[in-house]
Amino acid sequence: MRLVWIFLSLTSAFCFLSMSMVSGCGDEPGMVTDGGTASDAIPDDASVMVRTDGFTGWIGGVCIVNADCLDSPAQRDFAFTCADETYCLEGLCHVACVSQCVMVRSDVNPCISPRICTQLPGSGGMAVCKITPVPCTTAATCPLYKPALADGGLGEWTCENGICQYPGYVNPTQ
Amino acid sequence: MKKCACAAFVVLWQIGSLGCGSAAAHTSIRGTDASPDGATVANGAGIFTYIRNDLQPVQRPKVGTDSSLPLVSMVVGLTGVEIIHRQPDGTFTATPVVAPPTAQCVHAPVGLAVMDVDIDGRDDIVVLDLCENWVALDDGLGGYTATRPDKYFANLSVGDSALVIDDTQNGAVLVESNNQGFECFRSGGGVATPPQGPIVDLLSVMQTANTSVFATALYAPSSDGGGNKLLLQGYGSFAEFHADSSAPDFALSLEQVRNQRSFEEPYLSPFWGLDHLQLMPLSGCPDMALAVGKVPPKMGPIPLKLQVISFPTGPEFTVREVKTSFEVTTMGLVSMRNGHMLIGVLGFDASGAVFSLVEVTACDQWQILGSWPTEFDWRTPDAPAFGSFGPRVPKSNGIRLLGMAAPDGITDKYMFTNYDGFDLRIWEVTLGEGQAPPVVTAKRVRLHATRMDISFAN
Repeated sequence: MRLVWIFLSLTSAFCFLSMSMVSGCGDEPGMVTDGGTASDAIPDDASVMVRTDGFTGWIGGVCIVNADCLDSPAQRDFAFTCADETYCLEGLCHVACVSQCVMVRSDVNPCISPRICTQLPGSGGMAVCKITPVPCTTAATCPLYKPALADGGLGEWTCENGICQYPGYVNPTQ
Repeated sequence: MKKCACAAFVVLWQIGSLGCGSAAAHTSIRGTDASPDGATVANGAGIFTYIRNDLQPVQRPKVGTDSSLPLVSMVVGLTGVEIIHRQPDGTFTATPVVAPPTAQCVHAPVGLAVMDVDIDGRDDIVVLDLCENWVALDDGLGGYTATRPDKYFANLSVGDSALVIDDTQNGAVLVESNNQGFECFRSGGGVATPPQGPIVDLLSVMQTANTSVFATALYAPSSDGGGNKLLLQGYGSFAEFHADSSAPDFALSLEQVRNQRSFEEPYLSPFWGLDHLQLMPLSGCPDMALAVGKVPPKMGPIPLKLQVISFPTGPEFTVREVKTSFEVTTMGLVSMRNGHMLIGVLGFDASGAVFSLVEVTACDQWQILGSWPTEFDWRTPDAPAFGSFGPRVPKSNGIRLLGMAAPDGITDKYMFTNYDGFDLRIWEVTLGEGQAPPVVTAKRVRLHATRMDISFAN
């Protein structure tokens, strides 16, 4: 089983490293898609490498909140050198590279949902697609993307208890 | 599979009497569209396949009540150049202008310039052709005679020329050649004039202003007569050159790089490109242009909207959206009798195609006169090499909408015309008196039923 996982991981890593040149990596046998039936496929003490359009990283370890994943198999096995984030989604720990994004309009999110484009503090305007709650000191450091409200209008981010909040918006991870 | 969003495009904007070294009292706007529809590449057709489609009016001495309004058209991939005429009975005809015979290659026009090459008072057509350049001379009998250009233009480059700027008054053609530089050719009324050039080293420009492939050109007289201005569009920037048209080599000097530093809600960063860029001359205003803002798909589903670009004094340019309820495919401009600009806009909303009119009344003021459901389905020709489905290109690629005033010159009537190589579409606009709404009549004239794309024919 471990051997199989290593094989899958190596195959997937190859896919990641060459994804800009090679097509069809997403169809590799054994690949797990984000949001699929990963919980059935992954032992509690292991992780798998997954690459989809919106996710490149490892999944493994059960969780309830993001903090549960800090010592998870996914965190342990994560082997890419990149800006990453660790979170709990649908009961499983995820550790993934974040992808860079550029905000052109405040009402259009360039990231694959449920991630939103979030500027990195002190980075000179660089922004990445994130799924974790955005920490803040003031509202000015909250995401530039403003999801449409129920009436079609746009709201304003606020900084509450160090976390960015937006009317009607529920962070996809906690 | 990830696709590289290499859709880079650059716009050349010449303000002033370019004339290849001579002063000009009159010039005209010429150019092609840039259409960086992200990284969309279908069946190898590529996003730039159709950007050189062209449609231009041809001036001829008026005979009696002649209102034939001839147009010259080039649809990339089709067999060549056509003259479209309105007949006295109101019907339209498309007559091919046949290139000089050659055994060397298949003619493939990539650039048109309309000018009086032989100085006989009638517009002729200069055709840049990947096979062999040629000139079609108005024969004065209603037709054109194609000939080799050597007599009129010495050493006119044969190559993949993305930009062609012609100066009707001066018989000058500015050609961007193979992304290497610009060359200036001038007709000498039957006497070949040695080319001057290259007048711009494109490679150094690309490095200076982060620009890439040339795709769009605008050429217009300077509003203040203060000389020439050349603007190359890069990613969210313009490299501005001042040109000394009196210098033999048409000296160009980089004046500044303009950037967009402020953004109007909801925009946060510059567009990657300003497509369909057209000069919008308005008296008393800074240099202005109109365009459709575009970004690669990876930056999100940014709606295609009309943008007014302003070039005030200083190192910046500004962009303001003309708020429409639909996404813009293309647009055309025409000067109104009252000095305002009338913009015809083609676009799509959830219910289908829309034709809309916008009147620009002052530097930063405009109003939408109305929007009307219309029928518009731009086609690409069959390409057997790709099977029955053919190459697919985005619907905004290479679509030109030509704005013209009514031929009588005295009424508030305007025409906006599109030709896709099959159908001629005309939107005739009659502006109402006072607050009365405009009357828009759409017409579709089928000129060809089927055509084959020679670019992709085996």
